Amino acid sequence: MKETFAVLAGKAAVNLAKIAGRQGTSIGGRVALKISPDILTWFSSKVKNDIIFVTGTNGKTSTNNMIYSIIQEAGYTCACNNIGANMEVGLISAFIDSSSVFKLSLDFACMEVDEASLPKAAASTKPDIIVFTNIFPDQSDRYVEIDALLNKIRDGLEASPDTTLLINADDPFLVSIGNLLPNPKRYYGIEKWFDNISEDTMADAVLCKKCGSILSYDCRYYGQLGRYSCSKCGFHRPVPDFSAVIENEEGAQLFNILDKDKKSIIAVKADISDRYTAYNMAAAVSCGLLIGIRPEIIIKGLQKYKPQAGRMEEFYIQKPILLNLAKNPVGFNESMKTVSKDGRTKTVAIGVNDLPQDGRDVSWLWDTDFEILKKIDDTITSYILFGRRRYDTALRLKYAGIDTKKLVISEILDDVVNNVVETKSEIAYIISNYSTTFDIRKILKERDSK
Amino acid sequence: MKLNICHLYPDLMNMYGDSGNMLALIRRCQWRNISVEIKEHRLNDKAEDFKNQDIFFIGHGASRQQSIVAQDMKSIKPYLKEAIEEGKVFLAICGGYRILGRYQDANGATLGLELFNFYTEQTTDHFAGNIIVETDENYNLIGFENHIGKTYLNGLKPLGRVIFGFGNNGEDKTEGMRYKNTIGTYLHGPLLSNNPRLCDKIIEAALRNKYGTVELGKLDDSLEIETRRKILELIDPKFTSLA
Repeated sequence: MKETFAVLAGKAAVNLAKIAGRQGTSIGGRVALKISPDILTWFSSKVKNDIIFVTGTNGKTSTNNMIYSIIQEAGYTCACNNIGANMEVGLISAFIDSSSVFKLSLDFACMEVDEASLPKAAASTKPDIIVFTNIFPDQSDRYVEIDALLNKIRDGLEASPDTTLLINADDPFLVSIGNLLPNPKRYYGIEKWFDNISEDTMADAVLCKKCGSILSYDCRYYGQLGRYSCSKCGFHRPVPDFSAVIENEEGAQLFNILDKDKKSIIAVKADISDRYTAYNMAAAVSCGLLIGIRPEIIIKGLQKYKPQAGRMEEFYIQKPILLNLAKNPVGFNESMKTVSKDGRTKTVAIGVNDLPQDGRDVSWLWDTDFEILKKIDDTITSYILFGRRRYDTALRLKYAGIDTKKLVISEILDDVVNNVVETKSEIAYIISNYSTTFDIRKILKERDSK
Repeated sequence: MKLNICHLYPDLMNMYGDSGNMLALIRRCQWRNISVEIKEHRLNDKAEDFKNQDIFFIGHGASRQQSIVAQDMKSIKPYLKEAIEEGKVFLAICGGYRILGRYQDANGATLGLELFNFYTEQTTDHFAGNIIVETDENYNLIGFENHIGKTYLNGLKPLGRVIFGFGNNGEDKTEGMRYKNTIGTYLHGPLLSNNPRLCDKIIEAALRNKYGTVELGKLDDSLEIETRRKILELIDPKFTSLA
């Protein structure tokens, strides 16, 4: 009864916030949690099949939304926090959104969960499956060393020994947490990538979490992801249950998922411009197979999936403009690699803020491989720098060897968009960190003529 | 003219953009036609050729990495000691700085090379944020600090006096350490690009060791100066004049 009231009050709060003109994405959750502190446990008891969590540093939202799209395609009802609100109240809000006050019954729930909120959310929700994308040092939790974060995740999962962990086999950090837990585990990974894009030039040594020696790699995709082994203690990449093989075929990519016997389960043509997308797809497809959805439905679900705001989102203002959110060096590097594959003349705009949600320390600019842009500098007509730390970004580009005459430092966001539109180029790329992305996106949306 | 720069443990001691300091050194030499040769010193490498090195650099690493490096550095300690006493330039950041003295790790064990008599105590104090440090040369260093624990210099000369931020221990207003041409500091990442005069002093000291009197050519630092001004303005507009 209390729960029904909580749902009702939550819904009312969302409506009020909407009337007040606010995007109250978490207000409903906050209200419901106040009334009924155990509401998450109650909601999860209403899910008939599986509750799926997606967690990790990068790719949570995309992967989760792909899974949602697949489940929907199969005709099931599903709660999903597909707006990227991934703390506890965000999960509750998602349940409130998909429930009617009088009857709540769901087939599935898929929720992206912030890696730091995972222990609490897992304890109250008892997910059936947790999909892990990757663990990278992130800006917002720069004060937490990666080992501490990994320990926290492991400790948080000790109360859910029956949850199936779907782990990225290519991430030695995740695999080492998995090895310490008794849970059932399944693995996905990238077996073959069609082009061997040069590896990160700033590749740091990766230490084996088991014995502390330096891991050796047959092949390193990015960050610590790749095919690794430890010559000292024998720790190694597990053989994935689901292996992605990505081949180039007539301009598009053919994405295959093979089972352990190397038999193809799924083959789909897709535009996979970066390794991020490949990993997200591999994770989502593996999850779809794990919950028993048929391959042809999974393919349809993937095709219907729409990337969310600010993830290589396309606008058109006299020229195509692609906006991409990047939250950390790995994200920036991958975005710039995508830019470098485009042979057209380009304007590149980079936005960097240092608000709490972005991380106050911007020293990560120097961990980021802006030299990727220097290599294709002859195709870039100008660099536009914006956000609170635009000067720091400009300085980083200067030390990457880029001519300061090509740098345009702009404080006003309207000027940024004007510059992007007016500079001579066939296409523009805007890469920006968290809060700048939302600021610039608003203006792009207003002026978009697509 | 040519400088040999030795980057100590680049793959283990590089956390908050610390390698950016190497980039700043390299570029500011190249822009003056001073050629640069980089030697990357890694685990188990020998130190016989340290005699030929003009500048040593070590960045910050996570605690586990720090312990591994502190252990490995024992074998190169005599070579480093000689270089430091000869007045070779040595720049050490955060974890790399701590290793040069004595420090307590997270488990309470005492580690470090004891090249200097300073000590870092493991405490729960977390010193993180922008920092401004005034130096004897009438130049203000601007940076970001992010460290746990307190460092006490035991009479060693600090790098400078804290105007804003925490510094070595949040108590005595000292930041970093200085001995001959060795500098230890908690300022992370783009220390040398945000403080080009410090970078040039390092280059100059190294050249003077090698070639006697030198005069460094002037560079266009307008972007560096503007960046400094903007960072100070973000901290507090009253600091803008310190650029």
